[in-house]
Amino acid sequence: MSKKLYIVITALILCSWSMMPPEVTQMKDTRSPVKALYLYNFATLIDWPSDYRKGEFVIAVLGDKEGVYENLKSKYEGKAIGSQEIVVRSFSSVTQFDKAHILYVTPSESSSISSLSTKVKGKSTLLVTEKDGYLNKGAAINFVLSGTSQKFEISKSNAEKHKLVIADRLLKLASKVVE
Amino acid sequence: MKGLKNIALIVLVTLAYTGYGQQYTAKAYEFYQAQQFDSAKVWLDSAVVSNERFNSQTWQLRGLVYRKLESPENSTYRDISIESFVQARNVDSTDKYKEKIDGYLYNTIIRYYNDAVTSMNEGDLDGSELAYSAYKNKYKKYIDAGFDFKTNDIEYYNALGGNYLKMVAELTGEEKAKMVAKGVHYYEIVLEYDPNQFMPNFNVGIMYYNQGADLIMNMDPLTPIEDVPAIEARAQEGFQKALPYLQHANKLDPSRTDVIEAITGCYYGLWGSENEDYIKYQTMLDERNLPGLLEKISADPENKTVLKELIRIYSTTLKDEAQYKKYSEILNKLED
Repeated sequence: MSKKLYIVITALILCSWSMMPPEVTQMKDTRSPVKALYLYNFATLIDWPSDYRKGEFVIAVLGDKEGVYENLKSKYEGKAIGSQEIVVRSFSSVTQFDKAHILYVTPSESSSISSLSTKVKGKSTLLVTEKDGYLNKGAAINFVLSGTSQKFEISKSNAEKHKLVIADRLLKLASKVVE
Repeated sequence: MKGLKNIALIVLVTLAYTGYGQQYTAKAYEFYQAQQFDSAKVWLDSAVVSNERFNSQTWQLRGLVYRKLESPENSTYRDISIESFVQARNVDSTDKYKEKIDGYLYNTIIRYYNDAVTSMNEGDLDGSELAYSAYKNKYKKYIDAGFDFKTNDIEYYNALGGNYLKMVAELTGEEKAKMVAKGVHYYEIVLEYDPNQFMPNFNVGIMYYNQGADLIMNMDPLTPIEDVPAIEARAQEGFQKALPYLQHANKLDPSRTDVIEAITGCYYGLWGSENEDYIKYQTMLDERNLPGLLEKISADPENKTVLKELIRIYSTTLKDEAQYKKYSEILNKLED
C-alpha cells in the first residue's frame, strides 16, 4: 500500500473516532432522587399513630408525575416501613386525594396548599411541600435549597397537629426547625 | 526442528565462507528473492560480523529481511530492522542510498502508528498510546528531529479521548472514574495545543457532567440520610468542573442544542430550578425545542409526554396562559 494512501486511511479512521457522539447528553433530573430518598427516610424516622400502622404505607404525590413520583415508584414501592408495605400514589388534583401517610406536593401544585391543609385536618398525613415559607401555610416539612445542597426544614408544631412524632435524628439534619 | 535447521545452516555458511571468502550478502539476497527470509537472515547475521559490515546494501537487506520476519512472536525484529537501516545510513558515506534508506526507515517506523490505530480499533487503548509514543520517538530520532507533531497529536489524542469516552459509557464505579480521568487527560493534551477545539471541550464537559449526575442517579435508594450531602457535594464537583468546558464549547458552536442541554443540567444540579442561569439556559433550550414539540403534537394530539412538556414550557420559561390552559385541558381529559 502506498504511503499516502495508508495515511489517508488511518486519518479517516481517527477522524471518525474523534467525531463519535458523546455518551449521554440529555439533561438528568438530579434533584428528584435526593428528594425521593428523603421522603423514604421521613417514613422511617417519623412515628405515626397506631391506627396508621396497619395496612399499606401510602406515599402520595400531588402534581407532576415525573421526577419524585417516578423515583418513589421505581425505587421504594414494595419496600417496608415496619410491617407495612410502601405504596406510591399520584394525584393530579386536590379533589382526587383521599388518604396517605405522606403527601408530597410538587411545586406546580403549591397553590393548592390551603385546600390541602383543610383536607388533611384531623388526619395523620405528613404534608411535605417545596416552596419558600410553606411551613407557615401548614406544611410539616418543606424542601429548600441551602447553597447548592438539597435540604429540608421542619415545623414540629405542624407535625404535632397531625399526631406525628419526628425523631431527633431527622431534626438534627434539618436546615431549620420551627417549634 | 527449525532451530536445528538454522544451526546447521549457520555451520554450513561459516565453513563455506570462511574457507572460500565469498559474499554472505549475495547469498542472502538469493534467499531474499526466493522469499526464504529465515535463511536470508542467517546469512545476513553472518555478513554484519564480517568485512561486509561496511557495505550499506548489506545493512539495507538485513533491515528488509528482519522487517519481513517481524511477527508478534518476533516483536524485537522491527527494532533490529530499524537499527539495520540506521547502520546502512551510517556506512553510506557518500549518501548514495540516502533517499532509499530514508524511505525504508519511514515505512518501518510508520508501523508503530499502524499499531496505534489497530490497537485503538481493538480497544487496547493503553497499547495504542504506547505504540503512538514509540512512533513519535522513533520518527524524531531517526527521521526528523524537528518534526512538528501538533496536527498528528490533535488527531490522535482526539480519537483516543473519544475511545475512552465510549468505554466510560459501559463502566461503573471506580473503573469508570479511572477511564474518565484518562479520557480527560488525553483531551487536555489536545486543548493545550488548541483550546478552541469544539469536541474536546464538549466531551470533557459531558464526561464531568455525567460523572456527577451518575452519582445521584445511581445512588443506592437505602443510602443513610446522613451520607446524602457528601454524595451531593461530589456530584456537584462534577457539575462545577463541567461548566467551563461546556460554556467554551457553547461559545465555539452556539448552534449545538446538546451543549445547552448539558449546561442547563449543570445549573439545575447546582442551584435548582429557580436559579437565574438555569432559567436562562432552560429558556434557550425551550425556545429551540418548541417548534419540534408543536409539530409532534399536531401529528399526535394525544401524546402525553409532549403535552406535559408543552404545559411545563408555557407555565415556566415561555409563559403563555392561553396555551397552558389549552394543553392542560387536553391532558386532563386524557387522564380522566
